[in-house]
Amino acid sequence: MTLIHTGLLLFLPLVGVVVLIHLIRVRRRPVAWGAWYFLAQAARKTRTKTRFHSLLLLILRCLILTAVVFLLAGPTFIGQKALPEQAATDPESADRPIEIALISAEGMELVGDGSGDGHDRFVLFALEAALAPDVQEHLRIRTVSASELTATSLGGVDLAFMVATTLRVPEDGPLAAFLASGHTLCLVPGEACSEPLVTADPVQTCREGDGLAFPVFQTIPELGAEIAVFQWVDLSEEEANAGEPEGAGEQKAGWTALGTLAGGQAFLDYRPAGSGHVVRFHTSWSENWSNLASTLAFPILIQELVARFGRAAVQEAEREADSAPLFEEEMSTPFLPNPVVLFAGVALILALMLGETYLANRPFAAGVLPGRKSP
Amino acid sequence: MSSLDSVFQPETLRKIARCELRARQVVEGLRAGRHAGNRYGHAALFREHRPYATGDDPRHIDWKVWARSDRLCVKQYDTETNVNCLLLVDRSRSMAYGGQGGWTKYDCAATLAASLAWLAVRHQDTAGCLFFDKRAERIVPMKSQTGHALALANALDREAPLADAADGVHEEVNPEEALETALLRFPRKGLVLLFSDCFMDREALASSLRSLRGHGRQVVLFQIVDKDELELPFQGSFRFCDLESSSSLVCNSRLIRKEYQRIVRESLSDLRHTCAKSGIDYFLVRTCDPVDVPLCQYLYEMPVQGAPLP
Repeated sequence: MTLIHTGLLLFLPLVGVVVLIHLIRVRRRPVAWGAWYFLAQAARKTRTKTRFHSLLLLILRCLILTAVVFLLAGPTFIGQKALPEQAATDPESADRPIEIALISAEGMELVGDGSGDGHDRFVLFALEAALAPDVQEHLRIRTVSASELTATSLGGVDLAFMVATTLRVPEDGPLAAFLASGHTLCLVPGEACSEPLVTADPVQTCREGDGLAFPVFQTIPELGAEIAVFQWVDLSEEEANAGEPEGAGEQKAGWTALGTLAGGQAFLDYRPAGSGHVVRFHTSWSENWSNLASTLAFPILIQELVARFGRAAVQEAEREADSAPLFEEEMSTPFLPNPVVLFAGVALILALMLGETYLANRPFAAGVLPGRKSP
Repeated sequence: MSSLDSVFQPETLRKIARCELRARQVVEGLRAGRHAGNRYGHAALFREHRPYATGDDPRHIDWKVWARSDRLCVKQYDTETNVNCLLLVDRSRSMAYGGQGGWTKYDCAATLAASLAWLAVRHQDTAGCLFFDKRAERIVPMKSQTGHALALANALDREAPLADAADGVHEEVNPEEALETALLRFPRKGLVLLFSDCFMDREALASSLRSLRGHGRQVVLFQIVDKDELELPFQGSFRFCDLESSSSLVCNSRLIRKEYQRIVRESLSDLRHTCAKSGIDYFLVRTCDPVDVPLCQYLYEMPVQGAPLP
């Protein structure tokens, strides 16, 4: 169970006031009594019963106040669609930091020992920089070398970023098992990756020698940022490569775009794999280089991905929202109490109040009290 | 309810401030009412016939018997003597309990006592009164003058206990001491009418009553209780304050009601048995009932339809 307005729980100490009033018993009306001898004797003999009754009454009164506070705090239950803010306040997931693994590609010994170079190292630095503001709060980063990757080395990891030589989905090995267990793997192409997500328009290329790299600036409309995409044109093989890249049709099948350029090309997409997801970036160097990792858009993308895929527990709820564009502004959902919860809460409070009235045995009819007689 | 019945109702009597007037109303009501009957006014009660002997006063010959049987018989009567009537009235603060109607137990006791004193004085009997609280406090001497009934009624008015005057010191009513004083100050034989709620130590009360009865007196106990005290009818939790001390007790009356009623029943039953064993006439008087009920029960020993005992 989660609460929407947790701040209302600050009113729970009011229970202390109820206890105080119960103990002081200020409201008891005095009755001058003549047959004291019998009354004291009867009270002595029913002391245990009276104490139990008093305790029960106190518990009921405290329960009434607690139930009212909890009902006002807006309880929601697992199974009910949780809003992102609610998921963040879920004690089970909020208490534990998100484990993120940065996996360096095979043959690229990178940040861990400082031997990496070039674009791969830059991409890893950019990843670390993008995650850095949250590290102290709810993220925990660990770096893993792909060559040392085992099933146990990813234990406890929620989300993995891999600087990869390929954008193909791993079908076996520890990463496949990682995906099968409902986690998400983000493939960030490194220098050696030759599978572009974005291809620049060949018309934009120009001839100089055997080939030329030509920057094409593409806009990310949702973020208002630009990335530069270079197309390396090998003039000698231009004719041969003019068509669609080999396997491009297969690659597009099943992938859903998370971010698109102004021209409609996806530079960030994902698809389900196992029980989890695979997310791909267009950050490759080689022939299809882009400067995405060095733009201001990159940290935003990373943080959005952590928020969306960071926890396996909330993925189920968020799958329903997957079809929505990543950058669409979150609609603020007003608190509408679940009618069932509301009805049950009100019924519980009424039942408790009835019980309290019965136990307290309040006089329903006036005029039964003798009071003190004046001389 | 007839107009005569209403004379005896607590609601009617409560409106009369002076005890003397209340007593007069009750006594006049008894004379004129349904119970006046053929018994009232027979000062000398016929006992038996005896054959006429020489020297007997011919005025006592029953001529009707002579006419029927042709024998001369003389009527004989019980000798009538004056009765010393002592009223013992409890004026402890517990007697100031009046329930919701404000008709206190002391009011009821004083009305009964004054009515009986009035009747006694009218019959040329002597009547005196002793008030006791924690001990015997005030005595009105035995007299048989006509005006003495008024003096008794005024004394009963003056000695009404105050409900709010609890001084914080709890001292139980000591009936033994009060009755000892009664034995010392009043003639040995006579009629003792005790008016009390008997909310005191049962053993002490029983031994006192036995000793009183042992001196050849005829003792009549009017135990006066309020209906609330018998039933504890309140709803909810209250702070009960003892009228005779500063003690107080917070309790839910619903929770203790059964136990309370059981204890009260046992106590009343004990007292009744004690009285029966000691030869004491016992009358339970509920303040909510008309005052003629216990008076008729006592004076005429006739069954009067009243509320059953709890």
